[in-house]
Amino acid sequence: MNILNYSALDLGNALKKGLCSVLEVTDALHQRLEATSFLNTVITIDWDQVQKDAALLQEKIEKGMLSSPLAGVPVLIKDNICTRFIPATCASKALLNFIPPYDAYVIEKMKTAGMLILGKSNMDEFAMGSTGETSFFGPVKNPWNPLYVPGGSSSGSAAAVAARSVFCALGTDTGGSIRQPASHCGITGIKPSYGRVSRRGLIAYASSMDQIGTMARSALDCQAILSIICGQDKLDFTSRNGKSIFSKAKGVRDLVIGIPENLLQAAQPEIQQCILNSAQIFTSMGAVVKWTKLSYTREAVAAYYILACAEASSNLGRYDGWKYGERTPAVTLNKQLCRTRSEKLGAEVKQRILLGSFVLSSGHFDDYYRKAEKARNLIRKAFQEAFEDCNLILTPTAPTTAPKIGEMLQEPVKMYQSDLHTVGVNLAGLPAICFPGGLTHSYMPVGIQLIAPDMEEALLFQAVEAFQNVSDFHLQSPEVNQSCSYNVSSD
Amino acid sequence: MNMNHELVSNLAQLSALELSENEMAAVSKNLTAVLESMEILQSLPLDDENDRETFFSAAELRQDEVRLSFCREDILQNAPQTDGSYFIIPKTIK
Repeated sequence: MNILNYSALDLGNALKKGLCSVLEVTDALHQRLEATSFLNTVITIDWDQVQKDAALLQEKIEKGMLSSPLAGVPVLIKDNICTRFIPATCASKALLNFIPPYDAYVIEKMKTAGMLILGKSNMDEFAMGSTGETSFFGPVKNPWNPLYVPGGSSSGSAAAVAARSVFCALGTDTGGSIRQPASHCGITGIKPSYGRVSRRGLIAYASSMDQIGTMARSALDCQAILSIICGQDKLDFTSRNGKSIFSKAKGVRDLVIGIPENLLQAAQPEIQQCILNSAQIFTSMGAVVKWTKLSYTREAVAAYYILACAEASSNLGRYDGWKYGERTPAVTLNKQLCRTRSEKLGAEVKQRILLGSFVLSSGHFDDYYRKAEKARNLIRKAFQEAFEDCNLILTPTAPTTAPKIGEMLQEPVKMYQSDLHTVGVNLAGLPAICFPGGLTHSYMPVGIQLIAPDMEEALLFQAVEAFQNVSDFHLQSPEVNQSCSYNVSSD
Repeated sequence: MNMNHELVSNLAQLSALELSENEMAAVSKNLTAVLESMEILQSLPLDDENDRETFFSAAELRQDEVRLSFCREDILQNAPQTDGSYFIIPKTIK
């Protein structure tokens, strides 16, 4: 079997048994990433350093010094996560040559476990976007059809995993930015409960919703990586310990899975069919699938963009070109500040800053920001009510499959509304996972979303592991080529 | 809510941004459309009971201990302009 088709856990096992070396793996990834470079999934990889790190890790594995099942496994990191000695650009001109002086907490934890930090993946600028098109480094392309977007903002991470150019990746999710690209690229991705993973070293977009999560080819891989990066961090006040992400129970027998009818009907017919097919698979394994009600889903989109942009307008106030980042020279301080921000920040970022400033401004604060805060509470309560009579909620991840490059970028309302299925989860701080549920007749992936109560990631993994044991959607991958002719291959 | 040029211009000033004429036109149009889509919140049954509760409970507080911080060189390494000890920025005081 081609090593690039291994799961992350299988690779870790093969490295431990000496069936391959870390250097062989990184060489294979190097070749594959070069062959798929037209997808534009990566911003920074220092291959010389990767080789040095690979050699060191190989020595440690041979000496039995690393016990993690993922020791030696390379991982791609979304470029809004700080990595010492490797630039963290957030795909923005504003941070073009910014090299963090420290590792994010999740990076420290992965290095301790012996994972190999491969490099930094492309993304929407400052995580603001749902298509992968707002990067200063150019759009990422969907490996299933490069005329289409991979989704965003964790666009490079999703596309690289789907293209079999990496085994796994970290993404971040503020309003769906792991789950939606996972759906559009046909991979598995989880947004953990808010606080499950430390945000120390994550360059902030909307601090009350940002979460780092894992993206890979299976639920088991996502779980294994999440187990390394999760846990309370004393230096992140919002992080907390919670219930184990591993479940003692197996399968879905007697689990009650609710499908909100309104969210199902908001999706394209082919996506609805995939959801209903997945419901049948869960039923065949003994789950009880029923219709449920989830209120305020449309209001959630409005509330999300008001709150997220308000937080972003504050968080991005630090990009002034004084202490780090790029600077546009000017004679006066104010001119230098304004010109730096105007020239170095992209259009979508500036638009969201302006929207955030508006909703926080006097005369509008009560009508927008305070109403959105109150709406957030209603949405949280709506989820609590839904979970009173079901263990998990099943929905589409997105209303459509991936759109064409250029189709959404000039229509912000359309782009924002496409986050209908994901943003409520972030407002409520809940965990949610997206996993492949099939392909449309035009061979574009459809992602299924499962949502769980707070700190119930174990239930999510239990359900998706069972699903992936009896189905092979997650094993399908595209034959990646520039000419858009495609065949589907199964591992 | 009509996001006219004057309003957008004021917001740009608040946000320390300078917009070109083209940008101004695009932002005005886009934000007007976005805010229109947000009018749905006005129909929510909101009252004092739904006022913002404490949503996220605080984790346990850590001890207020002195810890090692970064060295000056690490902090200055990304600075656009420095004299080796301080960040250099345009003059603020005449």
